[in-house]
Amino acid sequence: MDVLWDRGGATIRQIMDDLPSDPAYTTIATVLRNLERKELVGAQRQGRFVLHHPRVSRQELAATAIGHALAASGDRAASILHFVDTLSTQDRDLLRQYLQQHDSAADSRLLDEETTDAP
Amino acid sequence: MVLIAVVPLALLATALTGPWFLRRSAPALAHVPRLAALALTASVLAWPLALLSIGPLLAWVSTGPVLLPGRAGEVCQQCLAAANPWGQPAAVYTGVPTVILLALPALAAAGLLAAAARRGMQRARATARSAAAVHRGARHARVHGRSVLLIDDPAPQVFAMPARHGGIVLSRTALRVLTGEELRAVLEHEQAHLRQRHHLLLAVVSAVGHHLRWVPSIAAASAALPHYLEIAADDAARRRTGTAALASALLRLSESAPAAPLAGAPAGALHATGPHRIGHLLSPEPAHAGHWPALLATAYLSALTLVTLAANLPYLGALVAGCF
Repeated sequence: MDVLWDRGGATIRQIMDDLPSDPAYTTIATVLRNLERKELVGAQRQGRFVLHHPRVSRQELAATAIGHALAASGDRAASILHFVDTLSTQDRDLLRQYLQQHDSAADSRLLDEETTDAP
Repeated sequence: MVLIAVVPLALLATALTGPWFLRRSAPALAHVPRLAALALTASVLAWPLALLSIGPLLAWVSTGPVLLPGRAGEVCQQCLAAANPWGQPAAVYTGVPTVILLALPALAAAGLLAAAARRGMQRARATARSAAAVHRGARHARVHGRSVLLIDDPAPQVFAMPARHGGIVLSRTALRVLTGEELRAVLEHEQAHLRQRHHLLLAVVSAVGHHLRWVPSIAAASAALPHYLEIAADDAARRRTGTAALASALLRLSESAPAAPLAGAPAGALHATGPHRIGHLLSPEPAHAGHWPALLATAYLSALTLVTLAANLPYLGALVAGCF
């Protein structure tokens, strides 16, 4: 992935040249195929070559690092309770609305206290 | 005898109407989330037991061709008669050999038990793998007096693994984005999961319910359980820190969640049979609304247990007494 991020896109031959170790052509092809399956890498035919390019940025991948680690270890089957999964937009609106009301209620309470305290 | 004919019909009816009942009573059951979670777990266990009891029950009132020859058959007949609460030989000729009525449920029970154990072990291995992935680079820490695992992750992760696998996990990002009160609410929520042994309930229901997911009521109970567990943990958290802290923690974490959700069902399918977590959190209905579904659920579970006991205790008694 590092080679693809640095170059923006590369053929298998270019990746081989860039890597310090000397992996076999088929090894790289297999890794790329696996990455394609995970939708992390895309492939595009350009003339006689197939150009592989990253489909997620370095930052995007890092953001789901633990996510991938858990997914790879079978998180769905495992006993893990997440504090919050995806919330629907309606749910978020409900929360926002509640918090706004709560804040304004707290503010008005504060105001009341101030007015009663006043001589 | 009529009673025995009613049992299979009642089991079929509850299996089919279970999802409807759960949907209808979800808002009310949400007031007693811990009871609801226990009842759902119990129903997933009790329904198959009651189903398997139909064979032994039928064996008292039906008769069929004799399969077991000679002495073995006689012993069987004697045991059957000793266990029969009516004390009379079977009346209706159904053409099904009695030994099948007894052996088939026994085999099915053994098969289900083995399959559930296998599923349970698979799940335990998956949990151990996930825990190992989390433990890599994690650090033990105390936050607000709670022992947690701190991980480096750009996303604000908060989750609970079973206590023996490390318990509460927080990412440093979560620690940074949450305010003090929000963090306390989140920690109380996760601690409630651990204290109330929610992982255990989930494991039991997953192990047994997985193989019976073709039964509508069991599929619905398994799908609804996680929602009641979240509500139970939410209730515990808001009793200690208030609704506002929990609500703003939920909003903040869901807004800064990574694009790809970690796990769980797609958002659209969430509330098919379960209660509405956010709705319950923000505007819980009056508590008395929980009474009738709780009563119905108790009656249902009692009936299932009664059928199972009524079928199996006499056999057990007869066996212990040596079939006299």
